[in-house]
Amino acid sequence: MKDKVEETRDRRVFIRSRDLFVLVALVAVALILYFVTWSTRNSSELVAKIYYDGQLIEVVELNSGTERDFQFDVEPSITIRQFADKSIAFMSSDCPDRICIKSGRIRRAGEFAACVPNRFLIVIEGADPSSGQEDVDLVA
Amino acid sequence: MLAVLLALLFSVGAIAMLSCACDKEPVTSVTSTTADPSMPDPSSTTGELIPDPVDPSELERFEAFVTGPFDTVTKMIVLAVDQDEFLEHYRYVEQELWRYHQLFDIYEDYSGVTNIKTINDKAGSSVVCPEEILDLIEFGIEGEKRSQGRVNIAMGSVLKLWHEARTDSTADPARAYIPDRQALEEASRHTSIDDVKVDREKGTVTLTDRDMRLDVGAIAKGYTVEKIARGLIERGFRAGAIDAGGNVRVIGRNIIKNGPWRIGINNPIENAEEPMIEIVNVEDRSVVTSGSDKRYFICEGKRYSHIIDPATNHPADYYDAVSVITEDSGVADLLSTTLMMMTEADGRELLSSFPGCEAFWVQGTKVTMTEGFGEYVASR
Repeated sequence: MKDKVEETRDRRVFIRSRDLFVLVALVAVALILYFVTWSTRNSSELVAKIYYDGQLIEVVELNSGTERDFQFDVEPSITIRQFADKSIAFMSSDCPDRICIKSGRIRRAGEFAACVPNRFLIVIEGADPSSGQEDVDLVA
Repeated sequence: MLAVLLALLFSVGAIAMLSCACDKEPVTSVTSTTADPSMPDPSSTTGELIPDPVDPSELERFEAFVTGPFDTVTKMIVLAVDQDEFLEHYRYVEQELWRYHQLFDIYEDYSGVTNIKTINDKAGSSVVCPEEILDLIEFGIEGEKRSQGRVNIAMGSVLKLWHEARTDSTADPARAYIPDRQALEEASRHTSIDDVKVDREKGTVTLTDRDMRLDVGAIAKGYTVEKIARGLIERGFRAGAIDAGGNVRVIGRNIIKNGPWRIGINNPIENAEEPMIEIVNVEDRSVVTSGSDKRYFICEGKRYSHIIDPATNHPADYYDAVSVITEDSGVADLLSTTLMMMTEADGRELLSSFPGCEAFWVQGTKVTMTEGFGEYVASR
């Protein structure tokens, strides 16, 4: 009788320690998964996609906070600048009206600017949940 | 015990991932700049299709751009059950935009197409035109009356001088100039709307003044957007929106969010901290803003807008921007341009002859609106 009790207790102890290991491993995996998705959502989701003639030619991560210029062989007159304040704008173009440049800096998800004569389009995609921006469908 | 713990942990992981995926509505983007004139004419569809009713949870939000028609970018939002349904509407809009662009173009010829440029080139004689052109020109003639002469499609010869000055001055700011006063006066002698004749029976348009040129720039975009919106509704479009360079037309409501569409009113101040000065909630409405924040040029330190008042043959600078809300996008386009050229008091009086139209005036940091416009403004 006593032997049998000992035996069950032994088995239960063994299972408990393996339980603990699996548990810790799973918690770790879940936490890693959560933080990976959470952090990518916050740091890299706001992007500016640059299209030429309907084709995606550049994806600019706006949250990186760097300032740099983009130029393209297909249309050398076009300069697009990424600003440290997470905005982007057309800086130069040889088009007649310069509406692209006058569009100014764009920074919100859904905003876009274009140089129609040169067939360039910049579209901001993604959302930055930390900024508390108001969401609109379109701007008139 | 172990099984319960495992299930719990997996669900935590699953929730973490799901919460990520569901945070945003699914968005698919397509852009295009190519016209495909070989596609069949979709406007031959008759009768209004009613889309199969579906649960809002089955709808997805699609967004796409068409770059080029009417020298602008058109963004469209489509709520559809799948990619196929979205693409069908997208292709229709893309094709119609290019078709109307060619018909209403005053600068380019297209093989096999009679357009506004054809009428200008043949000023003095009758030109057989497609029905779309007859409709637009009749809308323009009526618009000239309704705007008390301020929006005049027969003003092409005057507008051409300003267009050239704007293009040249933008290309070479050091040699910026404005049109010669005498040249403007001479051109303005050939702008009487009564010299534009539409003959429905013969299907012709005639400019009886040889020196007259049509310019439909102030009305063509809004008019086209309305035509396309009506076409979409006939084709069983569920809900969505078209934005042709700030000329917004929404169809239905945002079924996915079970609410109205939220449209921002652009702040005319360049690179302002707050890019929108107001947000309006609308369903089945057009929101159109006229302004001079993008199409302008500077000469000797003075800013010249692209909106030319026929009364003075010079840019009208009563306001930085005027927005109009009403159902018909063509009327909204016409009215917002008209209101740019008059005082708010005169504008409010004019509005009494435009039932269902509401307006919003912006001058610097000063903003005023009609009572009805206020009812569209979203509480922030």
